[in-house]
Amino acid sequence: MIQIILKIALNTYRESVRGKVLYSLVFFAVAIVSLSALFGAVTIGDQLRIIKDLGLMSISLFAVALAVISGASLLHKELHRKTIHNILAKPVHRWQFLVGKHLGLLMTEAVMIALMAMGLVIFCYFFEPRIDYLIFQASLFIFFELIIVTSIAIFFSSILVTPALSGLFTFSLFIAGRSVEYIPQLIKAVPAETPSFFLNILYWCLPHLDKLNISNQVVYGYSASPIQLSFSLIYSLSYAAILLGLASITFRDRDFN
Amino acid sequence: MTEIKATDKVLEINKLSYSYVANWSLRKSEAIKEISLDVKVGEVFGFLGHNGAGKTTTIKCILGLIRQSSGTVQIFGKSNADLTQRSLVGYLPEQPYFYDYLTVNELLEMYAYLSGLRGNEVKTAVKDVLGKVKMTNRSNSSMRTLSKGLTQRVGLAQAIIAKPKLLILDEPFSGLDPIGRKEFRQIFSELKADGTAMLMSSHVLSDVEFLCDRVSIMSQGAIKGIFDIRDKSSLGTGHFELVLRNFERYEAELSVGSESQVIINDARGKYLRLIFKEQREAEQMLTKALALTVNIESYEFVHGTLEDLFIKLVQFDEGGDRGSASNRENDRIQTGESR
Repeated sequence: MIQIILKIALNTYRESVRGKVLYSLVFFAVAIVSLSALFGAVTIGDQLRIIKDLGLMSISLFAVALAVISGASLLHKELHRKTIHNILAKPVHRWQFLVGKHLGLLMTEAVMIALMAMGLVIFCYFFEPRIDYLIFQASLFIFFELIIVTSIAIFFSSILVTPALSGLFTFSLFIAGRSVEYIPQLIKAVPAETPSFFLNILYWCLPHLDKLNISNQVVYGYSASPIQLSFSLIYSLSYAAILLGLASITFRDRDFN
Repeated sequence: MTEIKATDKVLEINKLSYSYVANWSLRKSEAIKEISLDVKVGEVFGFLGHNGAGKTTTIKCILGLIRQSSGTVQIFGKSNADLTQRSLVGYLPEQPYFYDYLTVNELLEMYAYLSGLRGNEVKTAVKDVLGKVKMTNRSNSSMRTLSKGLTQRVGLAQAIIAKPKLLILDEPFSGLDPIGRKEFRQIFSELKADGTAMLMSSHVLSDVEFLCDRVSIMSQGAIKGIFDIRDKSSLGTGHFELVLRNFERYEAELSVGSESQVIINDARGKYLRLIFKEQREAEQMLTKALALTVNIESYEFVHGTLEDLFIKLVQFDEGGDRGSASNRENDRIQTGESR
């Protein structure tokens, strides 16, 4: 069972990393990270902090863009080209296919984040000749965030036919997830009972991506505690598991014409 | 692993229907209407029909890619929803597509794994199957560099990699050149000899006649008949053919009573070919020709062909040139025995 998932994941990874789209994305991402860092370098003030801040923001944005684009178009491509037919004609459960695809995309995203993080560390080295391991830690949290974002993209692409719509919904949910910390303030500000009830539901249902963003902490030199690290990993995996479970339920009854 | 007896049915479809709702009109359309058929161990079953008859939809139902509206599909005695039997099934889709950036080797290794092979079995199976489809020298080629015919070979390779007991082939000869077609026919013959059952959808009737034991003819979502093509009489009643030479003086007299007459001119001279449905009429004409001292070139019974049968059933269903009530009744009598 696990071997099937890993095999699908490995070939999804191979297919993604060899695709021209990824190369252009990686090239563009490295260019933007370098530009951000360069922009930080010419600013007045704490140069290194600004370089790291802009660099990590660029890594996060590009990684999310990759997750949204590849996740949302992944199933559409499989259905459109009918490559899924050969896979599901074998003794493969549909949920195994989805989990394998999710894992394969995460492998691709991990490589991309690692490459960009390394680029940023090398750039920072020129300003302060030491390896800043905290950049890798912040990148790990960006990866945790991607575990959720990729599962959102797969969830939407399992129920929607148009990849553009899946991408739009995923990106909207990413923005909402990054802004979820403002909901409690909104609840306090709203006096009526009913809206706050719905806002509470929204608060608990939306992904708490804000909790996975430790860039601010890292640029000031504070590392994440092991508890924060473990909690973030468990939260990301659980949230993704729930979404993939829901995606599997909708995918189970889908006809592949 | 399921034990399969020689008398077992590897595939049994019973009153299978599939309907879908059209996007805008919300009207329900029936793509398959209560079809029933079975494929026995080691049998090659031809699945024929015009374009849009419902063959591919039926195949997708069998494989669980779409859910049937009603009816049952059993693979090796178990429901098609049960995936445990799927490792015994190979599937070659019509015009297969694969992942562009994987190599042939990587792709086949994945399908071997998905089919249930593990460890060294995978490497051996990939090597064997590449040899079988004559793709050993292209094993490290990226899929996107392959031609349509070579992709079809990879398609067949992934279908047979785990030595399935039932092979489902949707237009397997599509995109192949004559050499490829011959090689595919050879592979299918070998698989048949090894006891692999096949359900083969194809428009190439000569290949179907060569490979298949039985065929079903499907039209407008329904099966019009199932025929044992090894038994030539099931392909239709056939006809009696009388070919005469030196007939010119009696041409008008000899043309009376036959279904059709054709005058053939070739290097050896002029011939009159007469076709009769009934033996009695043919023999009467033969006696007449002998009496008139016309030369008898040949007199024989010609069996019906699969093509004749296919065209007759499909045209009949479309309300074509065989639309009269009496003709319909005749068609039923001619094909009814084989249903």
